[in-house]
Amino acid sequence: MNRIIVRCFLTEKRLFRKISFIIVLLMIPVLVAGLKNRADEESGLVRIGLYTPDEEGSFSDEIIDRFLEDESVFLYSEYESEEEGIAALEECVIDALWILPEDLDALLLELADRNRIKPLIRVIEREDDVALIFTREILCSKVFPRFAYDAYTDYVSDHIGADAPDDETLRMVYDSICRKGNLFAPGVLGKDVSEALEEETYFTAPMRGLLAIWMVLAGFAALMYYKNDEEKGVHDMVPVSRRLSGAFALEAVVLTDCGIIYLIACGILGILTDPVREIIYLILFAGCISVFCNILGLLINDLRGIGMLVPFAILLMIVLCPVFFDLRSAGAVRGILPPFYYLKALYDPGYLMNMVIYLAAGSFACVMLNLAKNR
Amino acid sequence: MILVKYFAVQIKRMIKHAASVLPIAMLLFSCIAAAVYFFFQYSGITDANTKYRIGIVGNTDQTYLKFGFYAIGTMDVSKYMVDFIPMTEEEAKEEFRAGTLTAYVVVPDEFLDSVVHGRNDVPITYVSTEGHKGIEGYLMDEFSVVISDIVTSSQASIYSMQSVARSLGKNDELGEWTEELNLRLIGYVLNRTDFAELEELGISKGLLIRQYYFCTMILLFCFLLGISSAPLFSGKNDEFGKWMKMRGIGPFFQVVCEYFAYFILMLICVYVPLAVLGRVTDNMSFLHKKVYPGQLFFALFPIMLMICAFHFMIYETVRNTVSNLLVQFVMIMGMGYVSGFFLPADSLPESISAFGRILPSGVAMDHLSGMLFTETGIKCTAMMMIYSIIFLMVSVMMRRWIVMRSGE
Repeated sequence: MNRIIVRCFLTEKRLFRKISFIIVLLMIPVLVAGLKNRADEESGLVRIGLYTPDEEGSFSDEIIDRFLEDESVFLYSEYESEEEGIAALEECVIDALWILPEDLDALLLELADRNRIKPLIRVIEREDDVALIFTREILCSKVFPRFAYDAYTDYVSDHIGADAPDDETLRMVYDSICRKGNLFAPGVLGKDVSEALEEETYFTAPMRGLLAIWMVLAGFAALMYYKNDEEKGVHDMVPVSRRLSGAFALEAVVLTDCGIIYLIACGILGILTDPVREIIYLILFAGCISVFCNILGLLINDLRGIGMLVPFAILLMIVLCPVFFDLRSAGAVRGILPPFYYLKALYDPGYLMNMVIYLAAGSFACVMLNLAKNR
Repeated sequence: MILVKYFAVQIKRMIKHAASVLPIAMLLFSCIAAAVYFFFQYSGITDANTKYRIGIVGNTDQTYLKFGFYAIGTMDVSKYMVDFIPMTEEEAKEEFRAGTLTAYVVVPDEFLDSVVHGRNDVPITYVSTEGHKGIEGYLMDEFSVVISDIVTSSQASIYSMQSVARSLGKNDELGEWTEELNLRLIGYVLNRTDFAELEELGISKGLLIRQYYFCTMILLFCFLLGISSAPLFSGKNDEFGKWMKMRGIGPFFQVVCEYFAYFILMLICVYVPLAVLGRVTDNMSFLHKKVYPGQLFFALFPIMLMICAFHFMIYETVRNTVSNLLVQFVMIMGMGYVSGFFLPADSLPESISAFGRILPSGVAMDHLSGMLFTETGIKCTAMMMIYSIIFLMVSVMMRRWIVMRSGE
């Protein structure tokens, strides 16, 4: 045991003698802080341009103001003229232009009276896609309340006739009854950690996933470092059967350093949940990474082969692990990737057991492969 | 003469490595292409015809709810996009984890009562993500507000009418009027998207999503090839530089010879898979604009000059295996992230997007998309040349320092 601790200490000393290693570790918090600092700036998944020829204070103008004021993952901006908006669309400054007509309220009232819907708002796009279809739903939901109100007043005046209250009373009744609010509440499978994610934006949301992949890369780097040493004959004095523990020790040292940086980066991003829980999960994750890398190290003897494998691993992890999107239909392939369990387990303790099983099965496979190799 | 010999030796070394690097490049390219295809196929972010399966948990036998889900599934404009499937919570969780459900909603027993009485205080819980919110989680948040706005305003409209009718003593007509106004509102809700009239400009301006991600796919491939090339740079002996200097080839010419040999190998590694793809797909006709081999070659040439210089600089400056791999990953992912390789550049905060555009990755993206699709000329070429020179100068300085150090 003492020998392993001494070896870990010496490895740490050796790593920290390399300035590049220290710079790499410091790079992460600096980059993350830079991104976090800018994450609150105006941005949107889809950019929508708004224009109305109607005067200030009109219903169209009111809708535009509401779009501009509301917090959204879509970015809205107003244009002074239709030509300016179309030019912005052509220059790819915006993804769609919505042109709200003059006297929109009168047109809606007229439609409510005639009991039919016809196109009133011009939507100009370069190319239609799911996100833009979705934004049109938002547009209609902003127009709909006025339309529903008009339907009510129109219905009352049609059916009650001369006895109907005046417009002001009708409005008062409507306002006293209308209870705006969200009828839906977001839920997550397993533990609800939404409070901890309040500071997250769609821009910083993938950062945890990318940092987790960075941790796996650190595991790969440690493996390559070990293989490099092995090729140079550094471990020649160590019996072949004991070399696996050396590889694990090196992984532990590198992953501890990177793990500390990982936690600092998560702290800067404001995505840390309960610190104790985070540390426990991170230790398990580091164990899974070590096992994953060492199995690959036992299967692929060649340093070159491992180096060539790295881009594939990065690619697989970005696509199959829940970094940008959660492709749940990806199936069993992602079950071999450690970040998959870690990123899932953080929010759903159901995956914690999967992590433990992964670690146990992986360690067993490591030992067996090592025995088979030595034989 | 010795310079030519050194260059020839470097070329020979690369040819020797080509046998292993080229198949890896082909494989890596296939994987990236498959990943992009898989991503678009299953995430449904660009396919307007994607149908989502939504699980419904809870008692939906109540007439209004039953009708609501029936209407959405059969009459609403979203009927082509959504399938509602009633199930138990356990089944929903299982199917959701297995990826066969896009999301599921849990309707509490008190929900309808709360809506009928206008309290709106018992929300339906929707589960669209497994903890990690991701982009789809943010979209679901927006969607829930859309539905709530439509439901609450319809509800207010009906209850206001009832209130006015009651206050005027029209209790006998109330049932009939409520049904009539309800049906009228349902008709409006089902046709709500008819408020908007869609005009498409066509594809002449800007990049289509598939063209955009085609460019990012190529660039990610080019950058990641640098990590695959680690064996080409490993096992370098610092004494060798000093020895070559004594033979008359200084650090500058050493770097230039090695760099150009590496560049030729990498250009082949990038061009061959793309040329094969072009051959198989009728000059990339799936991109709605044909990309010809010559066009591709000229687009890639300056990009590869810059990216190879970038790889070379990293391998020259960071010689430690651990640090090198981590630096490459951080730089590729960092540059790629702010230059829009993953999320479209225009959706990033403005200062980050502007910064991303002047980085090597952003300049390469502008150049590639300009050369292949938007015909915006070669304005970025000069910028890439400047980057290439800077990267090579740093490499030369590092080599000079290493030679000097080994001479001490």
